[in-house]
Amino acid sequence: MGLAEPLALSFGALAGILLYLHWQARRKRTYVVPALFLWPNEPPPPRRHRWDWLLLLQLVALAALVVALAQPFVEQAVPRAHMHHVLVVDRTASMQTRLGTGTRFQAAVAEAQRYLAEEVGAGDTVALIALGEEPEVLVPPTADAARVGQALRELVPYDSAGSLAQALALARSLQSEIRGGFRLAVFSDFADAPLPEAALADAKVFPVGEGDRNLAITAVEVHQRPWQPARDARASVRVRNYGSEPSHGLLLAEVRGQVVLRTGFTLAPGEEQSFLTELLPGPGELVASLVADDLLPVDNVAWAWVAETQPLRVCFVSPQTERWSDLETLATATGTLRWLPRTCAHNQSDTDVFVFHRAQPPEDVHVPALVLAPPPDGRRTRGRLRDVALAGWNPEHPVFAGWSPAFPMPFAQVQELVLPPDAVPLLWGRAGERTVLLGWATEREARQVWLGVDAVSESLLAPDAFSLAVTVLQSLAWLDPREQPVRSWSAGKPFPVAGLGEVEVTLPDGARQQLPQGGIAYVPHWRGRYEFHHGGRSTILLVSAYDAGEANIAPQPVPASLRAGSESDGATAKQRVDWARTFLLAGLVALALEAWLARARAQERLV
Amino acid sequence: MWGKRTARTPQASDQAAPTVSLPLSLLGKLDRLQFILPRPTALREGTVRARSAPAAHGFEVHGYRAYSWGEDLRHLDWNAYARTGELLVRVFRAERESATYLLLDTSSSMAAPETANSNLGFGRQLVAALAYVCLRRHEPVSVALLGGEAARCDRSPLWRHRQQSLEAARFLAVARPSGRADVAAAVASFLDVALHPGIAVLVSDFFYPVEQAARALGLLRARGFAVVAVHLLRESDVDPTLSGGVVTLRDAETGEERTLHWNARTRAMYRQAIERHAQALRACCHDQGLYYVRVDPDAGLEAALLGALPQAGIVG
Repeated sequence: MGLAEPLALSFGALAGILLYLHWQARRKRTYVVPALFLWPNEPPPPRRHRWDWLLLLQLVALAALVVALAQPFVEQAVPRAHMHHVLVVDRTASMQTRLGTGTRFQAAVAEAQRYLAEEVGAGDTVALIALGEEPEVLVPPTADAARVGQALRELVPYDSAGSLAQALALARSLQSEIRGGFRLAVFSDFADAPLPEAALADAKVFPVGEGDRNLAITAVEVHQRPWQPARDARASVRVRNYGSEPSHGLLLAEVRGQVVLRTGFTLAPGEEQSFLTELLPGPGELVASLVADDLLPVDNVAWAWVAETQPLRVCFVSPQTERWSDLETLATATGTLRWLPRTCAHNQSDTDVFVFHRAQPPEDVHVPALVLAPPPDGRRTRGRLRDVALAGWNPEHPVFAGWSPAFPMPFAQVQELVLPPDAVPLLWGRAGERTVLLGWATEREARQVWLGVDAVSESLLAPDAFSLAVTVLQSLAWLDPREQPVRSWSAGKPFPVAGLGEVEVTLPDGARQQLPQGGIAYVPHWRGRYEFHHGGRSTILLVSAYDAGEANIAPQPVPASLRAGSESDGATAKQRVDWARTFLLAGLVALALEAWLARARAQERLV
Repeated sequence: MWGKRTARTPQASDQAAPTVSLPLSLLGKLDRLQFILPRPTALREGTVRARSAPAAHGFEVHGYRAYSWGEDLRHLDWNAYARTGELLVRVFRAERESATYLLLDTSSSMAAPETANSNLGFGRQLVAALAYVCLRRHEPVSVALLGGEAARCDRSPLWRHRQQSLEAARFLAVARPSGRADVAAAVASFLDVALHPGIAVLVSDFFYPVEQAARALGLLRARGFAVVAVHLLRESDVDPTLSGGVVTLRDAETGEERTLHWNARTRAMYRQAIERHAQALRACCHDQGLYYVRVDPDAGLEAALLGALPQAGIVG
């Protein structure tokens, strides 16, 4: 028995007024008369206690109406059909926010365990979905609740982000596959995205977590140009305050155990600040860490890699040598670009990149090559053009990644190229009404970049040829076959492993994991150092937790309508039976009876 | 009060003093009224006509009688002797002063129940109006308030001039209900002073035993007064409206209480009792040759002065 509107019971105080009026009416009435001797001496009969049915009926009517206003209901336990429960447990990075003595994730798992114990009845099926960067069905629908409980105990949080909407969509897909009652229970802090209320319409929501105090390293960047020595590189660390109050902290950055940055800071709510250091001692692992009293420690550490650079050995093959001095000057400017002697064409083993200027590269060249203004051969070139304006470039190619070239326009002399089937265009221009291809790149066997622009005629060192020089240098950098053994990465971002063959991964906790053959990508779930061993080579990933959504740990307000209550247990469903109308009817009947009785008494008293 | 009708200009002190007011519209009608009931034989000479024994001197010739031996010869009507040759003495009817005494019962029962128009209030107005009727014609009038503790009787002086109407109203205004109704003792107290017979108008609710009323009226009758009993009885007194059930009745004069089960039977019993009481009072008056007038205060002062009293031959 319960009351939907218990405050309505306060109207019961009207009973006091009723009783007072009744007492007033029952009080012996006294009349002052001129003389008593004319009045009959008829003492009233002995007074005996009698129920005042009018008062009783009035009280009954009042009580019934007041109770009807309070909307009483009775919850009846009725056996219900077996239910299918789908538990969605958030395991994203924000769930590692401290909550009391534990974390939000621990609180969510405890809620899920309680739900298993109290809400799941015999014969029900349970499925468990973990919300990570990709929602994952950890336990398909099963009647074995113990298995789900075990999976919950083994569940660990990720350092990456995730999409609650995707997890709910996956849960709904499970719903479409089953018949009968379905109940979706979501255990999350609802901190990283707007609440998908439509998807949560009939779900039972268990929000966990509170507080928004968090400082996070949002990026660690090493500014190092191609072939630039590590000592000349610079590094910057960006820190953001995601809380609603100003926060203080201490930022430390180390390379090979040597502190390169140590600074305290105070950030206003929502403020982001970048800290720069130029004191890199050399190549190595750059570790940035925050010392702050915030709630989420995951994003307080980040890694980056200061690469160790080696000179790029370039073999320049050209029938003309007028601009050789320009190339020498360019190499000196880069510092790490080394032009090989002119006899290098006969010794491919000492060459990292070939540059063919106005010369067709041989077909058997298996080293990266940059081909500048190839001579017309009718097969890979179409002919020489003059005064060609630049029409565009491919910004998605690494050669043009991060910068926008400003070529002299129009080019005085270019060679129109033919795009091979396995190549991607780099540059194209406009000659009259016609669009012509001016550059392409391919990775078929060895990387090659073909540019129709004549580096000799355009003078690489001219002020207005700066973009062309950068394009040449960027192309050389892309052509460099050597890949860095260490790469900076973000948690949750897929790392491509296609074509690496058999890969074994050493996780940050030291565990080893053999990746399945033919895998496309590996998703690092946690921050730290991953080592990929494949074919006798190793690639190291320095994974940091960079995600603005996860760093913003303020829980989204969950409407009360979505919050879960304790309405049912596992074996039975509680059906709410409304008694308001019954009490209302009883009150009206009592009122009608009272009116009838009062009228009868009034007629009886009429004298 | 009714200064418009009087020659006397009201003074500031008159307005400040409590008085009994009468509607101006009524005063004009009262101007045409006078007491028409036969007055008793008066003893005191005055201007008011009243019955008296024939006398040898006076202003109005009553008749002739034969001369008796020894009478004063100056009373002989020599002209009659010259015409008839008989010794005749002319007798006269002298004009005698016959006062009107207005007696108002001021016992506590006159104010019960306490309403805006109680019997006492109505009685004050009625007495004031009758006093005005008398004074308008310069007939002597006196007001006596019967009631209070120890059967007190407050009697006013005898007013003769119409300018004294205001004094009568003031005298009545101070009347307050008090004490038990012992009207016989009060009337006896009223009669303690030697009075010339006149008209005695007793205004009362007569809520006391008929025997007591008969004794009081008898005292007045015995002193030669022409007695008028004005019985103030409301319809609500005859048929009171009480809530059904057990009620407590409290006597307005004695404070005595009686618990009663008020229902149709007791209501009928009460109505019979009060009707019997009124009929007994009427019969008592008629047996003694007195005037009895039943007046319903709820009907209004005008209905009493222009209706009930003229119909009973009191005024006209």
